[in-house]
Amino acid sequence: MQKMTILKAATGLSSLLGALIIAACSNVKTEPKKLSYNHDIRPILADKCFGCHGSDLNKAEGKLSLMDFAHATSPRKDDPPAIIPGQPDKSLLIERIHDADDPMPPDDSHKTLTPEQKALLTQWVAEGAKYEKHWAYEQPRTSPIPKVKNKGWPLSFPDNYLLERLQQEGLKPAPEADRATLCRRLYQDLLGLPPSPAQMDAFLTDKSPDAYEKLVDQLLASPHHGERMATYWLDLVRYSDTVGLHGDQEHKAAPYRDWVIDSFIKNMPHDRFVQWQLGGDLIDGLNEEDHNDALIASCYNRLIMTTHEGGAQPKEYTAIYMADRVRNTSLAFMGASMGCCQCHDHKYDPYAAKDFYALGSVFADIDDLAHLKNQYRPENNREITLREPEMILLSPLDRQRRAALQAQLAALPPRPPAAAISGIARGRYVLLRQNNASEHFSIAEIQVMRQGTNLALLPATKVSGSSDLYQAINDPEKVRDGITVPQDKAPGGLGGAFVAKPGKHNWVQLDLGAETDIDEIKIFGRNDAYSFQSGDYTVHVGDQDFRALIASDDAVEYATRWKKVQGEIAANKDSTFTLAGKAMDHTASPEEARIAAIKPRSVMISKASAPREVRFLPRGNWMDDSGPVMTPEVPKFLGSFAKLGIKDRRANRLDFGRWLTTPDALGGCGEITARVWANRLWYLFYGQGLCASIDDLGGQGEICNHPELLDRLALDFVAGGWDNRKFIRLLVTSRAYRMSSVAAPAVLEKDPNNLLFARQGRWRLPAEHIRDTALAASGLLVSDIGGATCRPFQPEGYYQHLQFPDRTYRADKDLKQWKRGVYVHWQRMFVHPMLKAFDAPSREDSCPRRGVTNTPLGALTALNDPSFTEAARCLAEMSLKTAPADDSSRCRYILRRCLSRPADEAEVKALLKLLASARTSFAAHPDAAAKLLAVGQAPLDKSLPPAELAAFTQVARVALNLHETITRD
Amino acid sequence: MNHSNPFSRRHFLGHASMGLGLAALGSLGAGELFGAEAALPPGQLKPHFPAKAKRVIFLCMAGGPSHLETFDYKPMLAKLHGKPMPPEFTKGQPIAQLQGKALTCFGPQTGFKRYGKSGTEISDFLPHIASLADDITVVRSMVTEQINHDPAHTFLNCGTILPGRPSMGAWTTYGLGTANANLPSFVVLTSKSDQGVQPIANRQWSAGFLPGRCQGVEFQGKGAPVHYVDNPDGISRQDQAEAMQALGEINRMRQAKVHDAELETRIEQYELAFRMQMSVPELTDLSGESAATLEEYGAKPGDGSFASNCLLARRLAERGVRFIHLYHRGWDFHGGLKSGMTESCAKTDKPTAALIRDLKRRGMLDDTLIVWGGEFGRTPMAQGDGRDHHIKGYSMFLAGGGFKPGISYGATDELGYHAVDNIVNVRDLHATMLHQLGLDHHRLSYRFQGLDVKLTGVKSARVVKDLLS
Repeated sequence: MQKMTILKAATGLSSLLGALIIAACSNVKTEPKKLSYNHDIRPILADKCFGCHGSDLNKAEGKLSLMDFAHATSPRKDDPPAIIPGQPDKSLLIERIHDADDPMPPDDSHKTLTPEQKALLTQWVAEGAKYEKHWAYEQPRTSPIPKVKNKGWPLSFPDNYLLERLQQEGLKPAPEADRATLCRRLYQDLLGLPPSPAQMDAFLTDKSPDAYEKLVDQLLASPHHGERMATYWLDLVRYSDTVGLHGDQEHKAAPYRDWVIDSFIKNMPHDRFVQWQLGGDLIDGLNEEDHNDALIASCYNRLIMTTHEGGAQPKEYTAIYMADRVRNTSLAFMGASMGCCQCHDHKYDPYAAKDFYALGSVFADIDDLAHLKNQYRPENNREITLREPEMILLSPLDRQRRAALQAQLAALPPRPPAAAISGIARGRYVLLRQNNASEHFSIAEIQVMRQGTNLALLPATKVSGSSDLYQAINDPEKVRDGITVPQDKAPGGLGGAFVAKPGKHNWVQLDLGAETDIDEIKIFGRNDAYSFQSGDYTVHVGDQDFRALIASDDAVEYATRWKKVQGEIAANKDSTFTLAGKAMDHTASPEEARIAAIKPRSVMISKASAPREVRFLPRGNWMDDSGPVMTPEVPKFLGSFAKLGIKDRRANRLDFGRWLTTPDALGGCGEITARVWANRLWYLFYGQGLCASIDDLGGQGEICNHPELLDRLALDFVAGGWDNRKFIRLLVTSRAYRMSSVAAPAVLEKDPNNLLFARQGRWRLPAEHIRDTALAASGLLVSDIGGATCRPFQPEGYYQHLQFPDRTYRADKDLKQWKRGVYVHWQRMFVHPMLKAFDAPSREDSCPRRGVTNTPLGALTALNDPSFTEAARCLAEMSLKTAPADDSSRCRYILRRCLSRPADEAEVKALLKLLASARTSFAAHPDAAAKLLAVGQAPLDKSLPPAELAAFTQVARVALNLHETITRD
Repeated sequence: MNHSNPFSRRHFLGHASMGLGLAALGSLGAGELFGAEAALPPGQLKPHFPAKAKRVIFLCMAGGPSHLETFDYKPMLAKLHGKPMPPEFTKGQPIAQLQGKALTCFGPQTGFKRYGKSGTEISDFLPHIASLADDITVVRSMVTEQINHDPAHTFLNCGTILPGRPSMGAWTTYGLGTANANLPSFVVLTSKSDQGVQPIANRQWSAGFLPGRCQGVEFQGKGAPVHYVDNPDGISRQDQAEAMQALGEINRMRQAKVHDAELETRIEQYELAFRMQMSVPELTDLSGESAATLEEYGAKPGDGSFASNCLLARRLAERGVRFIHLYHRGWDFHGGLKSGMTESCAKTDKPTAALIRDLKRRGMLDDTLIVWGGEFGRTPMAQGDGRDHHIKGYSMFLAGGGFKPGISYGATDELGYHAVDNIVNVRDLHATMLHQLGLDHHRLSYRFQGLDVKLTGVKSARVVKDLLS
């Protein structure tokens, strides 16, 4: 026991101590060998020396830079060279690090060298002080696949590299995990969801030799895989639904989220995926749909944080917005923190301040200042702000859903109208008017029939309506055989055709263009809460244009005019029909309602304008105009646009995207970009990168433990056409992926942070997947892909600090309440507290790697958040209705839905004990049971005995809160 | 490399798992909850040198209170009232909403008097704070770098406007660890006036890249004091305890198979959460406070006012919370400055003074650092009958925590525009605050994206020794 405690103590070591252990374990050598600069020396220099003796010679103390061989070995004005290769005794560097009276690093730097580090530096100088380019900036190199002793172990080439290293370190790989664990792992990793018991059974009973691979392919083809991958990508590009500063108003980005999901579903080649985001608006020759989607993709450039605060100085924010883009672009695509270069040359990496502004000027054509130019216009501080340029576009997922629904609809028989009046007279005008002003106006469609023709659809027919009327047919095409009116009203979120909230007698009038016979008028209600009721409406037919009489926004005026109309109508009773008599149900089909709800949405796009002047800002000072004007260029040490073939024109965003994804041989830095991405994908499926610095692979990053493997993966990725799915398939079908996550003591001791992969990783699920797991286990999950942002329950008053305008959060009352976490409204200044409690980032900045904390706030959330309580109740209901009718079976059922495995006897026993006391408690307190069951808004099955259901809800709460439930093993 | 799980380290290095049987639950009285300091894990870092202050109460006057109507009296400005602002003051300076407008002097909108033995000049808007002139340290030479609320506020709290950086409360918690594991170490309380209210973001109390336990936890004026601290409807404390019991049992069964430090921590965090469910309501229950105390603060329990929050701040300080961040929003008077200042000062002056007096009486002022101030000051120039944002010189005050009482430090020019004497920038303030907490701002750092990031950033910052006893 004592030993175990010590071992475990090591697993949580902080970064510094962790790094030492890594160094220690990677320094295990069979024989002494020559030091490697990147491996042994750079980490010391970077930590202790570059801060003052970095690449910026203007800033370097004593004009000494230790960043490269040339500078370190050159004589300076008054001093000899710091390093004389091969002669540590004569090298100033070695002298000074051993100088007790005047040491380097100096005391006031608060940095010290250990005796071991001093010895390493001395040995390195003695061996010739060879420098190496930092590995992350070298082109990936191919290497022969290592030969290993245990030839039966590797299934694919990553296994050879990993096993070779383990053999060097004297470690044995963990055995394969059991099949249930593998199945759950694949579902969690590839979909972000646990397998249902049926899905698990299907895998466990599939005895074919390629059952595992079949499952992988099946999951990779699932649209939920797109959601899972998007969840990570959205962190990289800091996607959010709000602007992030001051009033944190909403901006319009949700269609971009759909596009990201869709791109992963379609397995869009990753190079194209990158290019579209940076310059989708600049691509010629795309077909209509692709052009639409590429515009949505270009929303990437608009995901910066913007301020809508009065008094913001446009010039200052121009600089801030540019810096935001450079910071994000470098972190998200290049694995580099160029943010430092806003004020000075990077101290640890070869990025220069000029690189920062040259890259910034790539984005100089984006006009993001519209909202700053007229700060006091009301749109700025509305709940949903305006950030031109915006376009109304149908997201690719919406397009597909709509097409699918329309196909379904076309196959349906015609629906019956809610009301019909047959055998009626002649007239030019048909007026449908609401009788009860305290009700919603809610009509799907009006048909005016003559000899089988719907006159309402004829081009000559004009439609008008009262001013409160929302007309929610956004498709310029007609919805089935509906009628359209001009799109001048914002959809009220109610969906359907003609909708208005209570308040006045609303109306719709059809002008048929000329007096005509009418055989029949059919009225179709809507499929919503405000269904068609008898006596709600009156239809008038006549030669009068009623509109002139009643069209007024003024309530008093309206009433006066309406009285007059009534007079007119009364004079011609024959043409007035009250729709009464039979009860008239709504008849709009669910498909129609859903089609109507799928609307093109506003989305911020990139639009090239004449590039504004970008100057180099000395010390990052936006008020200083003395710097030179910058033109677009990539970081100098990585290449140039000229190398890519762009010589006679200004390079643009699309060129930058191409440079990022074009192979070295063709003038780009594609392999380096691919290496950053490959490392991140590895991290997603193994819990740790091949280089542990997921965010920044630069000079201050961690040592790469498997550089050859990472290089090979990057090269493979590029050669294979930037195919994410193929690549992920490679990662999850290896032998290493299938290892157990339980670490043998020797492995834990030697490699607590799993940098060598002698076992699979184990980690707590990301926040969104914790939500998804609870929803899936309880059967609540609404698995619609894409579409509107969702708003789960949230504590009241959470937005009280948001002003301009004051904000009231409205939790969804419909099915959106149970959509996946990736769709949850992302308020940068106040991220949903459930997501935040489980480390979801604010998305103010790129977040390649989330923290994973384990705090009481997380525990309180899973215990007490109404969304979890509701899920527990629904899971309990399922157990009562589905499982065999004994307590033990029901407890097993609940556990299995959470853990994906059969429960142990002891686990069931613990739950039965809880169940017994909960039963007693709720039987004695029926009020308490009623209150518990009332949490949430999922319909409650009233046929179940409340005390019993409440008692099982307690059981389900425990199951949903188990560590294993929210852990990927 | 594993940044992810500081708790497990603290757990395993610090102390053994505390079992939480049902029997123990019944005996968890308030006194025991708060007497637990000795058994708690040690702080994350050792203090760099002996600390004068154990905790901070930051009275954050959000919106930018006017220095010219609080602590910085400018008779010359009164003389020039209504006359053009001399251009040499404003040439080339950043300006917020007055961009491109004619600039006119705007005299002080209230009187000033000298108070105490120190003779500190304080405005008539703040009679209660003024009565403590000899207990406080006024700084009249603050400068900041950001002229709009959101960035200025972020700069004041996080030392930078770069997103994703920790606020000073998180840094303090990171540096000093917790003194009461049953409560968050960094607590945020908020109140507001009816006028001059600006939004604030929760990045102001963010842990940024620091471990999640350093995150400020906002206490709510209404409903559950902490999100999700109340049981679901219909679940009694006993019900919850029984669920916790079963949860712990099953988690331990799993632990016997997987030996996972993270799981051990999970068990502990659930136990802690359960204890918090009791300690938080006890903390926020003001019914044990005497009528005299309530009267002194001007607090009505449950009203969510600044006064109630000041009283709550004292209770938090007593219970070992490291950083108490009290926001009062309502100082942004571009217009209606006089009535606005009247309201906001009336809401904050008396409770602020009461808090200082109360802590002093309890012998806690010595090791509690109180900081009062906003993200910037206001222009000497008029904006209608108000003032615009101003960053080149403004005032704050401090009390306790080893600061020299009864002094005024630094000065602005004769019109209150530029700080001209003993300038203190926000980084200096941070360095000095950390110093009093026993933390060297050079050394309190965290490796993030390859850099050792500090609260005081990369530009120079100094400990303002003149302010310290």
